[in-house]
Amino acid sequence: MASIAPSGWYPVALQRDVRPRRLVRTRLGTTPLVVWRTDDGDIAVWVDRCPHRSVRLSAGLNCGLVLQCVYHGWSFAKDGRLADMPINDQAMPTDIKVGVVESAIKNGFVFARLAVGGEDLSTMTEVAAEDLLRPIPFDAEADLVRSHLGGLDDLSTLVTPTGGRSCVVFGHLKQRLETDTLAALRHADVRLEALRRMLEGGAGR
Amino acid sequence: MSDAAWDASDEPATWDEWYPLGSPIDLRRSGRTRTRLLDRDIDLTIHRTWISAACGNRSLPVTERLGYIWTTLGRPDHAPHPVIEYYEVDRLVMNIWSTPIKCSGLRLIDNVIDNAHFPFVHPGVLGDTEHLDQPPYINEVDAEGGFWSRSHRAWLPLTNSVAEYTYSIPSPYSVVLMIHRAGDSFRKERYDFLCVFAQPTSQDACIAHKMLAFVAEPWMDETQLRSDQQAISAQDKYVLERHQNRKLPLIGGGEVSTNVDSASLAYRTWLHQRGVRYGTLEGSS
Repeated sequence: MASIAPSGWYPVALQRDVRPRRLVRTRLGTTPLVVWRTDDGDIAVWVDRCPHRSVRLSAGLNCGLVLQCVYHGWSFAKDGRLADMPINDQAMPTDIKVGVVESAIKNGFVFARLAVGGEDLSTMTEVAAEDLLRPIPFDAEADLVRSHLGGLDDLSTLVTPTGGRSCVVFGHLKQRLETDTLAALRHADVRLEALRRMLEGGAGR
Repeated sequence: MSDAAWDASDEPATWDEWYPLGSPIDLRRSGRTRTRLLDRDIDLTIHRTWISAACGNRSLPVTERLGYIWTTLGRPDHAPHPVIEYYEVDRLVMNIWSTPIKCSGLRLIDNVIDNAHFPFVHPGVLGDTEHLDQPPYINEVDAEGGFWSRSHRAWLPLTNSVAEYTYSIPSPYSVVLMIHRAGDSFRKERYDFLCVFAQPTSQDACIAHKMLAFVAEPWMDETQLRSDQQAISAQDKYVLERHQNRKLPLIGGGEVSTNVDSASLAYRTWLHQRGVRYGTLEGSS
C-alpha cells in the first residue's frame, strides 16, 4: 500500500490496555507499531520490526525488562538498544537498535508521533480514566470517519489512521457525570458501532 | 509498490528452472486442477497414469522426481536436481507436506539454512538455550554453480547429541539438507536427506514442498516422523509469515547481520550474482 505517515500526535492505545508481560500490535498510518510495558511501568512504542531479519517484534515475548524477538532471541531494552544476542561468537555490537517512535502518555492514552506537526499535547483537557471509550477500529478512511463524528456532541473523539482505508476511533465523554458513566459509555459505544456499520457497509466508500 | 513491471520471464536464473507442483498422491487425492507458478495460472489435468500441466494454451513439460511432479515455464539446461540416494532400497522416503506460505520462496530457503533460530523456534527439538554455540560455516560455490554451506551444527536435545549439517542449494528455490550419520568401519559415511523445494507462486508467496529420505532404522515410525516434521515446519511457518518484508533483501535492506549469519549472507550474495531479482527487495522498482 502507498506509504502514509501522518504528522503530529495520535493515540495508538489506551494506557490500561498495555498490560504487563503483553504486547500490543497496532499501526500509525502505514507504520506497524509494537507497544509494550516494562516491569517498572514504562511504556515503549517501537516500529514493529526486528533489525535482524525484519520479523515483527509483536510476535515475540515481553520478558519484563526486555522484548525478545521470536526468531533468534535478540532482546531489546526499553530504550530500543540491543541488550542480548544469544548466539554470537564476538563482542556484541553496540549500535543495533529498533526504530523507537516518540511517545507520550496523557489522559490515559498512549500517544505516538512519527513526524512533528499538529497540536501540542499540552492543549488537551484533563480526562478521568473512567470516561475513556473503548477504541473502535473502522474499516473506512480516517477523514471520512472524522467528518461523521461531529454530530456526537457529548463525546470528544480522536481518529488515528491505520492505513489508506482504515482507522481507529479513540475518545472520551466530554462531561464528568456523577452517576451513570457506564450507561453513557455504552450509549456512545452503540452509536459508534452504528456509524461503523454504516460506513463499512459500502455507503461510505 | 507495483510489481507489475517486474516479471520472472525477464530473469533466466528464475525462469529457466524446474519447480515442483506437488506430489501425485496429494494432487490425485485432492483432485487439484489449478495452481500458480511465477504469477501464472497453471492448469493440471489428472490422467490415469500421469498428470499434465499447461499454462494457458501452452502445454508444459512435466517430469516426476523425488515424489513430486515438476514443471518449468522456461528452458532449463538441466533436469531437476537429483538426489540419487532417494532411490536406495534401505531408505524411508516421505513427502512430508506441501503448504502455502505468505512470503517469498527465497525467504523460505534463507530460513532453512539458518541454524541459529533452532533454540528459539524449535526449543527442545532442534536446540535449546544451553547449547548456543555455532562453529564458523564454510560457504562455497561448486563447479556447476551450486551453493554449499557446510559445518553447521544442531544440538538435538532428544538424543543428547550434536548433528552435523551440510546444505546444498543447486538452484535459488531448492535446498537439500544432508544430515551426517555416524559412520562405522563397515560402511562409508552416509547422510539422511531432508529437502525443501519452494514453488514460487508470486514474488511474495510460495508453496513449500518438504520431503525426506532417511536411512531406515527399526525404531522409526512413519506416522510419528511425519507428524514431528510437520510440527517443525509449522513452527517455521509461524515465523516466516511474520516478516515485515515478505521479499528477501539481497544487499542490506535494513537487515543487520552478524558473523553467525554467514550462510544467509553468502546465499543472498550468490542469488545477487546469479541475477535473481524476482522475489527480492532489489527487484521492486
